[in-house]
Amino acid sequence: MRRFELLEPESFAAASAALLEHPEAKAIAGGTALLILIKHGVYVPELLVNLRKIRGMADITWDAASGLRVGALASLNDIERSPLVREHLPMLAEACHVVANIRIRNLATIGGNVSHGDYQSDPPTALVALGAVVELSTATGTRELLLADFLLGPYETALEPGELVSAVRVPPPGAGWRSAYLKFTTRSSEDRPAVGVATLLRLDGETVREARLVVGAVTVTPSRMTDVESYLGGRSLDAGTLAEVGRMVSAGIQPIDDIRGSAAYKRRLAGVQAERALELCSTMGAAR
Amino acid sequence: MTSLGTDAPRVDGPAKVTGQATYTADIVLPGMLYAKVLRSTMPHARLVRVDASAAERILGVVTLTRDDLAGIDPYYGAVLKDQPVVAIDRVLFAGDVVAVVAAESRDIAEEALDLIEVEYEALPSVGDPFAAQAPGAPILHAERNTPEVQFLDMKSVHFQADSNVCSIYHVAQGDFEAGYAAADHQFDDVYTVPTIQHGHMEPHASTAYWEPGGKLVVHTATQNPSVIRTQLAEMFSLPESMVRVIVPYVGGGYGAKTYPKLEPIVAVLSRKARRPVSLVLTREEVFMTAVRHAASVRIRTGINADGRIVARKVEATYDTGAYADIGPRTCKNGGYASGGPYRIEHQDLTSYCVYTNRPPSGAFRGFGVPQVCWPYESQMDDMARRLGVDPVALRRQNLIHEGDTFVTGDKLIAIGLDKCLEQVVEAIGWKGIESTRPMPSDKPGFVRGIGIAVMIKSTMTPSNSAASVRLNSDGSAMLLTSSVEIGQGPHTALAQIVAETIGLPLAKVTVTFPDTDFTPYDQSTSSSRTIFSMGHAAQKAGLQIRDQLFEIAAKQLEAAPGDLEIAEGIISVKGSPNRSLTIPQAFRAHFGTPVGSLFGAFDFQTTGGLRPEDGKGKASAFWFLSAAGAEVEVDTRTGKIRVLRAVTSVDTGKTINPRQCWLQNEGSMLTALGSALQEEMVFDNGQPVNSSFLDYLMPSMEDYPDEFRSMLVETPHPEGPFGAKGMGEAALGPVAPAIGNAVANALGGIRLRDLPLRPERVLDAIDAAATRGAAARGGNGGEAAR
Repeated sequence: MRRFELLEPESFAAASAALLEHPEAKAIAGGTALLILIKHGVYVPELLVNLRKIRGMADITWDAASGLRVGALASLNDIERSPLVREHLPMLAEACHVVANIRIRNLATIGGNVSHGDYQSDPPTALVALGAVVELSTATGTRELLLADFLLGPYETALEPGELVSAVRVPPPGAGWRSAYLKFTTRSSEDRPAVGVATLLRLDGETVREARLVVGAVTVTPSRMTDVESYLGGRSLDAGTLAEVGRMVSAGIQPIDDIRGSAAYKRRLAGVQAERALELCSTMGAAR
Repeated sequence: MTSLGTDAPRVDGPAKVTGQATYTADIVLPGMLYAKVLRSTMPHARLVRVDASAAERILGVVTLTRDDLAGIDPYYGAVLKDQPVVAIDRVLFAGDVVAVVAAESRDIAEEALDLIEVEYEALPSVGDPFAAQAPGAPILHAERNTPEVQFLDMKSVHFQADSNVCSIYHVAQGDFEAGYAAADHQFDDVYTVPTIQHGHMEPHASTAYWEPGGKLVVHTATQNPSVIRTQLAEMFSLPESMVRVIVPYVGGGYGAKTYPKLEPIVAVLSRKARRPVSLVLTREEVFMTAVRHAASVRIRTGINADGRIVARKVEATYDTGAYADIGPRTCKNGGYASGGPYRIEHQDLTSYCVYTNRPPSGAFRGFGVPQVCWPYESQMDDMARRLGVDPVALRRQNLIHEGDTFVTGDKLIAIGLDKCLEQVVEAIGWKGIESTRPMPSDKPGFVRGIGIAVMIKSTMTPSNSAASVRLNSDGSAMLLTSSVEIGQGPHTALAQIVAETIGLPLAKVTVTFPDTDFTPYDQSTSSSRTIFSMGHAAQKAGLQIRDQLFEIAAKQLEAAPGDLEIAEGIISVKGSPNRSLTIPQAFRAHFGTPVGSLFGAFDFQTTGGLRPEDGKGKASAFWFLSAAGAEVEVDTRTGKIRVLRAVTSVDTGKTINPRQCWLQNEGSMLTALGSALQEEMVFDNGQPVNSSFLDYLMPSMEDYPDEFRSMLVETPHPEGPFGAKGMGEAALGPVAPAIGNAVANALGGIRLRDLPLRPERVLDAIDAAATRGAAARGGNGGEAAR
């Protein structure tokens, strides 16, 4: 690996200022994504801004009114193991748990995960389904964006120069919601997802009152299937409904070919996994 | 108490689990430079210009290009010297070595690489063996060097001129055409396996320097130090005594570290630099250095209604990549094993080793056999299904047995394959023909099935292993050997053999690391030959010491040497344990004081070799025999396979250390599982696209079957130490076809012929079968049955 300068600011403001001053520089936290790009020569850094010396940015807090707030430097393992996340947003814990292996989850941070803008990832799918908001901060201020609006394309986000993701917030899901995240890999269990489905259901007995369905890892950003969500309203999740959901998802999604499967295969996979995620959600998904 | 046959703990265990074991990359020498390689970006191109002058101008940077090869033979290779230290006139694959830089640090070396100017003129490239044989294909090695005479077994391989076919091996018996035509049923199928990589944990690493007296010293992660010494001696026209090859712990190889890899590069570069040079590859580079042969295998079999297999013709085409490496032997050994462990009257077996513009393929655990076992064991189950018989019964009916003559003319001895098969049948719960039907799963949309397969494989023959044993006056002994501790456990198992032979406590025996200045010749730590060959040599050397001890003790104890015995370092008269002598006492008696040492040495050469005219003779000093069983669950809506249970049985001859054998079988099973389900190197216009563990996925512990069982059969071999044969690779071959057969049984006979069994492929096969089924029923052919 080439030598580069490493700044280790101890405050968020200093980190942001450094990034503003050096437009070519990148922020690094866990390094699980960036180091691969560097090792493969895709990105040759002159300057990296290490965020890990900044204190207080890994906190995970819960507030009944505003919901969950996860500091950008919280690791995926921190989130997966957080009693608050497990209690209030078990789907998010699951989506973090299924990422790669424990060595990666110990290092990778949630801020890095969303900032990287990689479509082949589990947490963004769950977060988009949960209506997550990212806090984007500079030395002087903070703005908020829906994660769904923040993710623009492959490795492309709405981050402005000098901006960093300082936290990810998830609004309280409200009473009666069940949720499930279902990952599918085509090779090793530690592989990135070939498809990931996040779903939330509010049931009234057998009947769906409200549904949310997001399909990830097959399109450049997670795809929320709003037509399926409206279709599900008022129906029971019987075999016929599930089959129709599968058909709608397969018809409605535009997957990309990659090493994990062809577009045609993933189209089909997305339908099957959507059915299964809904089934899992209705039977196992913890009601809140 | 004897340690032979017990789970003696590994002597290298503590050093490894505490991170203190030394590997090649840990060796830092005074003044050492660090090397980096500039690799070809093109799969095939003429090198118009290579200019390293700008890089050379940096203080402390030394470069190696084609301009630095004067005065040496720049070509090396295990069989054919067709691979240059750095590219000379052309590059032959994306990743080929164009230039090398050594500098004070890897960072500087990497920076300096950018300053080397290379101009390519692209040439048409060939991406597979069939494209390579098409009319008008570019010939990759127009001027072929003559085969290395070092390896006698290569006389049976026919090297081709003016062709991308590097070599052909052929063997036959009976009259295939007549037998096939007369058979009641004919089967004619093509099976394929892709290029895969070994995934050894330690990357390739070598360090070299030149002593003032002109001796070349190389520390290297190799599996065959003696061969490296020979190849480097030839490259520099040095006597072998002026080349010293030292091998510390090696972190896995599975064949990828056989024969020269980085050693020629560091040797030439350190000569120019006049300083030690170290080269450690990145993972990405490992994928460009050694891979397993992709293969396409056409297999035709004639079988009679009574279940007797009468005729088989196999044409196995192996992709050997840009350089021959050990490919011609891999293909030969795969070739004669391609008919399988069956009595078949008419056989015609041919294997083709073909050059392509791909990374060089070489040895890989299983050595050419998994590529052919996949076809013959898959087709076996298809034949049983067509005949409506139990595939296990079909195997029993046709299996080879003790005393049979193999297609190569070998008289088969120590053949416990029937026992391996029965162990696996029992362990997997095979219930005859009903086990060929799908079994229900508790999950809707999922089905289960079980499958079984068997295998036969040879070992490198003829070959040499020499051992030297020294007994010290305190009763401790050392085995001097060039066998490599690569994780497979010879430092423990060979010590067990020496301790048992001389009659010493295991703790008193140590095994050295290879250092060709001190340890005797050994052909290779590969081909699962160490226990058999080095074990034999060590046993004979140990016996010489025991005999000397008995002679000394006989005088002291006033008994005939033949009446003595030794155990735990105490020599005594049989039946009179009180008439005894310790080893220090024996030394005192012999030397006057407890000083000096006793020596034993033995060079064991296995005999054999195949004739050039008919490919027959003696192919193997001993045969590997194994069976595997698998239970799988198939998700019929996604095509995803999960292996629930795997069992393997291997004939060890005599088990020296059961736990180590279990671990070998477990490793073989996991490697095979990866090759069966997920591993595949992918190329796009000749460029490797998944040369990292992020994109090339090996099985993780999460993919491990819920249950794995290793079983051992002991059919002693007269030449093996205490009857032991090699076993390290044996379990690998049958695992993939056992999985394939389990999948076929789960899916009511749907046969997949291309590895890996990716979910997408499985789903396509399910669809195709449904379409065929619908068409056969006169329904709408386009409507999948779901």
